[in-house]
Amino acid sequence: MVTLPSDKEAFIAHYDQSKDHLPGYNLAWLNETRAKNIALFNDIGLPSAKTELWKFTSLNPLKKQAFSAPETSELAANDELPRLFDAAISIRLVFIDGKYSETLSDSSLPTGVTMASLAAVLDSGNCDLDQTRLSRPRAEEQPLVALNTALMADGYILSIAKDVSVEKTIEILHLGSGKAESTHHTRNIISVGSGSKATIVEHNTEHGENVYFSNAATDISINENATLHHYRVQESNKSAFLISSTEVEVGKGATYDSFLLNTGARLARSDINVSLAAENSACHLNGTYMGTDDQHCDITTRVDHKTPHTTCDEVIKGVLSGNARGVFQGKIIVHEQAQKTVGNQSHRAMLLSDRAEVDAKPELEIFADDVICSHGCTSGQIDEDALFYLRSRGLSQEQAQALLVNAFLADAVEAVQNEDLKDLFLVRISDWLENNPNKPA
Amino acid sequence: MLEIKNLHAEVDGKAILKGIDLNINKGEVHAIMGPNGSGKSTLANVLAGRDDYEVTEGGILFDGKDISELEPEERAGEGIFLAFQYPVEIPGVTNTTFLKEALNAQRRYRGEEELDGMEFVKMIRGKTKELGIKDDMLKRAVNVGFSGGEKKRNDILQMAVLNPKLAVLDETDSGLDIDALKVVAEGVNKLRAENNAILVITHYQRLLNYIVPDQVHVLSNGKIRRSGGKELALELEEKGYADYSGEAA
Ligand SMILES: Nc1ncnc2c1ncn2[C@@H]1O[C@H](COP(=O)(O)OP(=O)(O)OP(=O)(O)O)[C@@H](O)[C@H]1O
Ligand SMILES: [Mg+2]
Repeated sequence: MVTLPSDKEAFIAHYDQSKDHLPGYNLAWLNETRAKNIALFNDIGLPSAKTELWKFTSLNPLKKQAFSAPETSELAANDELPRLFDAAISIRLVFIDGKYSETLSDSSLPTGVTMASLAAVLDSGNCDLDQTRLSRPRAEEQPLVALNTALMADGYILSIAKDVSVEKTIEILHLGSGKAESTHHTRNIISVGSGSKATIVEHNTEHGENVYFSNAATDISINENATLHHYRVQESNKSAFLISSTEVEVGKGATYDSFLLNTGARLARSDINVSLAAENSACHLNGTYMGTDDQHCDITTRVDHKTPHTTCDEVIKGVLSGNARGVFQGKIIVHEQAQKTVGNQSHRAMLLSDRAEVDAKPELEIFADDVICSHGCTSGQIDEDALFYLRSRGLSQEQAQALLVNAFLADAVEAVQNEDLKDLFLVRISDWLENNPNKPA
Repeated sequence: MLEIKNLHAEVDGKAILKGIDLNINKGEVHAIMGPNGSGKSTLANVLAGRDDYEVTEGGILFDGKDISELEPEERAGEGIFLAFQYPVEIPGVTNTTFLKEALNAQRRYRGEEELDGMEFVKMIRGKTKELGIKDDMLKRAVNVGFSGGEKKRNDILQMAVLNPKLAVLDETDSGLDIDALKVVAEGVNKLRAENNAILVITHYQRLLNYIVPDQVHVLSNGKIRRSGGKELALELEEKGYADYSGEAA
């Protein structure tokens, strides 16, 4: 087992060692893409506080951490795998330490849905992967995505055909095996055919409490009049580094509906970039995060309104206790030709301890004149008057606080249309409140 | 039942209550009247245990027990209820959830059996009917979007459900129309019993036509300056507080 520290040089060394046996190593174009990306990563390095986009989130704890090279980690046969939804209403795909496990995944996919593992596609003699899906706009702002492209070892390529309404929820389990301090760079590609509807739920969790670094990148395209509901339940252990970047292209009349619930990780950073480049395209970027102890949770979003009549709404709510830190950065760019844009953004954080901290940076850049845009960011302590009111009726301090925090977060969950998911998020919120008793201020 | 002895309290270092003595026996209704800023709400909040107010001298006995060190929820469990001058809005928490949690928390405190969902619904239906409160109000978030009068009525519903030994009503009549005033008064009179006591804070003699007090006290500048029978309220309405505001702080 090779132990790797994790500064820039270490990642580059890791690339040098593994490039000849990464999936698709015999594809010339891919080697070129990987080489180009590692060079880009080499130029920029790991993001630091000097970069605007990483002003509030430091990767120093990651740099100090030693990781071992990823190993093939099959689980013991009797290890039970978490499942969010009953098999009757969902199909589940399983990734262990970033590697697709065919044996653990449900075998029959709903009609109109195809799924292949990235490694299998790249290694399959006649790889038909659309290379353009691996390049990002503003690549120079995304060194970790470059690193991902250079080192990507697996992931899923999920396609929904035209005009299908996928009834079953597609649950994707990203499980840490708990066996190694590993790093994994998964690359996922989702395409939703025109007129289709699908629900994808990604679940990050693991067996054990070990450190690992997951650096995922997901590229999504949603075609005309299609809707993708993309939900995430991020509940990795409090030692994990969970970084992901999602790039979404929304077609004409199509909708990207996203909800992110984050309770996990030592450091979680979720980037979501949405391009609304076709008329009547829309996105919902909602979420809640809860942090305690030394957790750090960063949600950074960017929405580009590029044509007239596009809509975006965003409601993020967070609750922090202990020494936890929250970061919200939300950029909305209304390009010159994007008249009749509607963009509403709000971020609200509640701080349950004096040591908890939140940084919020809403940014509106508006170059069109006929738009309706709003944003609001607030953070504050729990409402003392409300707390006293509840206590004066007999509720204990803890009960009253739980009730208020629960109501505060549940409000954000209202945006979720899928009832099963809504219930799931509400349960996660009340579980969190139960298991994370208020740390003394 | 309630014995307040030489009670001094301050907020942010500013003395507000300056030696209050007040005894309320079981079965009695007392009214406190007094000018704005005289300390009426402060007294009510101190009784309910709000910790922004610091008791610097004196004490409070409730049923013979010193309650000055008890948390607000413990006082509620002991049977003290405060109807707020300004009831607080609690977004996202429905009236039903809140009432059920509150009632069961108090019952647990007293070592009583909790009510299950069915029993609770049955009980609350009865109360809303008595108080002329529409059932859909129960499904709404506590006080959110309620009119001023509805908020007051909602506090009275809470009182009816929690059935306290001592109810302190801080200007529950202000903002109520005449019909609502009667409903609230009826609700209070229902609570009035041998073993309960009520402390009414009000600016208007009108309420006292419906809730007839055994004693009326004038609170001015942090002290009770005069006590008398229900006719004192009439006198105050006529003459105002000029006679009582003379004392310097
Ligand atoms: N948190 C506080 N900080 C500073 N001063 C306060 C605070 N709370 C109350 N006071 C002051 O204490 C005094 C008494 O206030 P209180 O609310 O008890 O009066 P009140 O008799 O209820 O008046 P009203 O008839 O207007 O309701 C007022 O001068 C008020 O400004
Ligand atoms: Mg008052």
